[in-house]
Amino acid sequence: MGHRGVVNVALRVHRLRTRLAWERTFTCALRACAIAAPLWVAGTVGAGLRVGVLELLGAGIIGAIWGWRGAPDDLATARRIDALLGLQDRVLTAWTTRDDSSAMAALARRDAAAAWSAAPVGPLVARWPWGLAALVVLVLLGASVWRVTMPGGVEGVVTTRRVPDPSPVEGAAKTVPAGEVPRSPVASPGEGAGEGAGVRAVPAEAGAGVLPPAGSPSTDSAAAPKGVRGRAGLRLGAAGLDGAPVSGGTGPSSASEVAAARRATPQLPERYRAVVLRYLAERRP
Amino acid sequence: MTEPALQSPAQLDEECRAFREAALSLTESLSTLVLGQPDAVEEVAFALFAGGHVLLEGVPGLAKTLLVRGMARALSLDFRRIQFTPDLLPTDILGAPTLRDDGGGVVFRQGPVFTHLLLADEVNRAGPKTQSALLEAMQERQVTVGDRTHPLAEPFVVVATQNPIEQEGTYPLPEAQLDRFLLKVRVEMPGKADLVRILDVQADESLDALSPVLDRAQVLRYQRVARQVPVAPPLKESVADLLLATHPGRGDEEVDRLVRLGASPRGGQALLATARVRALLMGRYNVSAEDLAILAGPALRHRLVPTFAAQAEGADTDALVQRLLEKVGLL
Repeated sequence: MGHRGVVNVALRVHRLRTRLAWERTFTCALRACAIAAPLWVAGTVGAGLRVGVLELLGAGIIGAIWGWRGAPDDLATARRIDALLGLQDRVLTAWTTRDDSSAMAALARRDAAAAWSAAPVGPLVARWPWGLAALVVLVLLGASVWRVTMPGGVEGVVTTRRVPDPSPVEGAAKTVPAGEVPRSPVASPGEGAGEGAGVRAVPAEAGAGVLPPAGSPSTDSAAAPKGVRGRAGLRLGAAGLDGAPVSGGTGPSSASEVAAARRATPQLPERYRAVVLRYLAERRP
Repeated sequence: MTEPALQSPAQLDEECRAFREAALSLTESLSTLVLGQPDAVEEVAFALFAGGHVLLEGVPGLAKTLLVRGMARALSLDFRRIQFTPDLLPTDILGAPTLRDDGGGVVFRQGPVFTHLLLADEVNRAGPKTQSALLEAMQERQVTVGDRTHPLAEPFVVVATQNPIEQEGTYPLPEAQLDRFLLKVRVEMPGKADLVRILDVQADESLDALSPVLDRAQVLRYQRVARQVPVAPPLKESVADLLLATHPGRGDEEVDRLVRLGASPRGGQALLATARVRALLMGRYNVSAEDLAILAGPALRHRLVPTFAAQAEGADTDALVQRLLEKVGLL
């Protein structure tokens, strides 16, 4: 028998402790990343992909240090094994008497090793937070895809949320000439500047073409006097915000009208847009 | 006393198994003799193999004496009984120098204390002087009369009994003397089923039918074996915490109100000694928190000196010990 019990129990305790420590470390790192990921996605902390990666890395390192420092030592692990497997402090005693060369201590260690081996291992299996891990991985993947494929999209969304958004109905009211009932929310290509409302290319940074950047004439239209606003289909008869008179009957003639028309017109991908425009042109009398 | 190293682990393992079988056989035999008192039988056995003395507390007629007599018979030990009375003198216990009949000088006539198993019946009925004489022998395991010291036999175990109800004409044991008892075992009233069985039992016949399970040499050997059972340092720390928690002035309002003096270090030693025996009998080679929790009551209940308020309320020290066990994480 000798001192095999010493090697068995002390080594097994230490190995388990190391495993628990690593698992705790990794779990804490994942949790830290999970906390940091939404911040990255929101773009409130990081200003780009590299910064975001650094941000996540930093959070992970902090979480890992936190987890490693809080991991149980060998003694606590031995007590945990006893508690989980109902070993009546056998492992604790074996671990604390690992340097005791007396015959009774050797017996105690052998008994502990035998009892540990005979005990069901189920309760000892660390509860790996697969759900949490999967969630974190999904969040990170989503965030990465978002940041890579939609550069600036998040900032655009944030900007949109911060700008007062006039209703599309009001914008459409400015777009439609007096006395005419709009046939379609999409203006014809023959009107206005040739491109037609909603056709003008919108910088990708503006974010899905919902609104032009802040400060543009269209944005300023939100600050127009109440008196110039009216219901859809009525001629407002008021000057444009840029001082130019609002033209009638020929489509949007001012920048604010173009912008308003663009607001009222959902942005479409180019290939669909061309089809729609061709369709509208054919139907126009 | 340092214990000689006992053989190899394999030999010791064999010894431990034999001890376990013998001790279980002993408790089974005694349980058939003393019906309805399994806890008392076990605790007395623990104390005996731990080499300590026992204070049995119970009302008359609960087979306390029968238990001790059965123990002595099953262990093939010498047995003496002293009925303590107020007029009992120390020399009636210890012995005295007497003149030889043939005029050949003075010889020491040994008293009943020179035995292996001594039953001190109603120990609180003797005066303090006589009690002190016995309790000194219990502690020192020797008797000094005149200028000569006489060592007592080994093993030497005193089982004292006292009635918890009848207090008139008694001399309650002082705290220092109570501390000499390893365990205070409560002998409770048995249940109805056991009572029905007891009614059909002839105690003397049962005692005669009891066959020896161990002999004196085995008892001594197993006492040495039991002393070697290791206790993990964290458990020792818990025992120390428990002892400290029994003392007033440490932030526990209930302890402050109920306890005038907490348990002594000897109480902790008693707890560990009996826990070692229990561990072996339970098939383990280590003391567990469960052993400590189960034996904390018997080991500490007579070492907590109650306040007047606790005495007036009839406070239960066992309940207090249980709560303190939870507090220190042993339960």
